[in-house]
Amino acid sequence: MALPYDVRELIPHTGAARVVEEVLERSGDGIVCAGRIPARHALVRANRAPAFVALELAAQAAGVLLALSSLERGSKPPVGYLVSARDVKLERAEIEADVPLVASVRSVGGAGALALYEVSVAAAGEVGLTGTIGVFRADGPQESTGGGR
Amino acid sequence: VAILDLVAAALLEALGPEWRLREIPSLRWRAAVVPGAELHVRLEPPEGEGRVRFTVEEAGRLVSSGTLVAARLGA
Repeated sequence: MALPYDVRELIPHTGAARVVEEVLERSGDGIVCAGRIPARHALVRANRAPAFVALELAAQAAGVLLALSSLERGSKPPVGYLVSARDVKLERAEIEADVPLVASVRSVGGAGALALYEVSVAAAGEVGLTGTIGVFRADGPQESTGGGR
Repeated sequence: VAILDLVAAALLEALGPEWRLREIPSLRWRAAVVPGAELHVRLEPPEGEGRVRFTVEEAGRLVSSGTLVAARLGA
């Protein structure tokens, strides 16, 4: 069951570019979000998207986590930019459009304005993508957040 | 992620239709790109089975770089 957060108010993406739909779980350092790649997404062809498009869902879920963490501290949500991906494994070539996906994101530290997240994206309980992404907070803190890999 | 689509298409065009993208060992998006920008993808010669370094430039400015690993479909 979804938690009562409106992701439209937490990340700037709109229309077919917004692939995260709702928050399923929230913990101190992580989040689980539901989403899907809409058929009218720019990278969908013949109702299928390359599997790496799931990185976009993971990045948007990380953006939701970043926004919620900031709001919980009483701060304005920062603007986050996906700047890196590392050790990403793709278990399939493509994912179907409009199929429910679940993105799990866990903060693993960072430095300065760079936040690192371990991510996985699954469809029907089967993990299709795992890896680590880096998100740059445009108005983020300048001190170390510690715990980076 | 749209830049990655461009690089993956170039990689799979070079290797052939029986290949797919399997791993992204490292990738950096170094600069924002506006829609309609003319991008140039450079693939280095493969370092091993399906492992390729790449750069993406816009007017001589590096906007993305990294390493991709492709695998044969079904492998």
